[in-house]
Amino acid sequence: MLWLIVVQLFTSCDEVNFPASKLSGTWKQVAVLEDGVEDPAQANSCYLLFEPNGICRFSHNTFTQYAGSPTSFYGTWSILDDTWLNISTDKWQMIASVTTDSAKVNLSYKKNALNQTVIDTTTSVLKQWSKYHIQSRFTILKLSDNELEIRLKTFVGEKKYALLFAPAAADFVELKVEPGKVNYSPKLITDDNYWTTQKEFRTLKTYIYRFRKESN
Amino acid sequence: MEAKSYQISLRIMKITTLRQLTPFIFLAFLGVVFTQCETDTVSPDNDFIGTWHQTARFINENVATKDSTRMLMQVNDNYICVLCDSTADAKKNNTIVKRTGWSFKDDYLNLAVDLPASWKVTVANSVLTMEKVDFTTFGTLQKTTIRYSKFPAISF
Repeated sequence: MLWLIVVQLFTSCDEVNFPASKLSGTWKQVAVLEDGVEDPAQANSCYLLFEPNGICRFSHNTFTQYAGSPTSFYGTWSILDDTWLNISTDKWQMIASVTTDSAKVNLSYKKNALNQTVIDTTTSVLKQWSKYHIQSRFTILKLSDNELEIRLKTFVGEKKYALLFAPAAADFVELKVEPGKVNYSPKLITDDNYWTTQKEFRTLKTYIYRFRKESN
Repeated sequence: MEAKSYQISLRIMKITTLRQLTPFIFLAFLGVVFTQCETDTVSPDNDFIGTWHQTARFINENVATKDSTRMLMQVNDNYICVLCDSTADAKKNNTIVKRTGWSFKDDYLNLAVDLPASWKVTVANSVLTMEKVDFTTFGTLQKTTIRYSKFPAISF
């Protein structure tokens, strides 16, 4: 019994692997690896700000080409069991449907100025994608005073159509909506890209994100 | 003989008392073990409560125009904060008084109206200083500092 107490006494204050206090501050994304292959296009594209009260804010310029779009976004963060980093972010799930008879993607149409029938992109994408806020759990590989390295195994689609952390502008379209409303969405799903996008949501890949500390 | 018997019974009494006390000592010891890693939380709640008048505002340590959406701020002990908005729009729409919630978490002030940004608060000599950071469109951080001085309480 005495030994148990002694063991408890000397292990109860062990230093944690990755203390949350080290995460607080601003981090600049310096590299992204997809299945071990570095993608230079994604480097230096995002800044993260972890605040001590559990709020995570991040900044990127993916949507700046659309008038009035935000450049900073937010979610929450926490470290679990000194090993995992939980970050909640906005994600989109593809809910585009196909017709039962010809397996064609359902789209909305409108008349243009020349009275021609054209695809109504805004109405269509709003029916094809569902936005939600969900937690992603990263494994912390490294967390020092200057470096942060985290790993996430997820579906390609889950990564592409989420704010993890700076999505590629090419995967999104501008929505012509009223000022003040979210004016971007994942791209229009048509017969040309329906199955490839479906496949993206069924393909697992491992992503490693590397960050460098900018300020405390 | 009698003295020896007395000594033995005294020893037995001591052992019995020790045995009776052992669980309590053990529990007290466990209490120490399980509380020794707790940290003291410092909350500026009490100093923060009151009515405050904005005296200065700084952006990245440079003097900036005052924030007219909160020239006066009344922090109540029921976690409601009243902001006096003196912007032209607020005056026109008669929405000068704005109520919002407040709380401290890990020494950072969450004002519901400002979330997700939170404030670092210091109170000294009746001067309240609030600091927050935001991203600029270039990804750099911009620090906003607002300074308030204590003001007589007002009823809304």
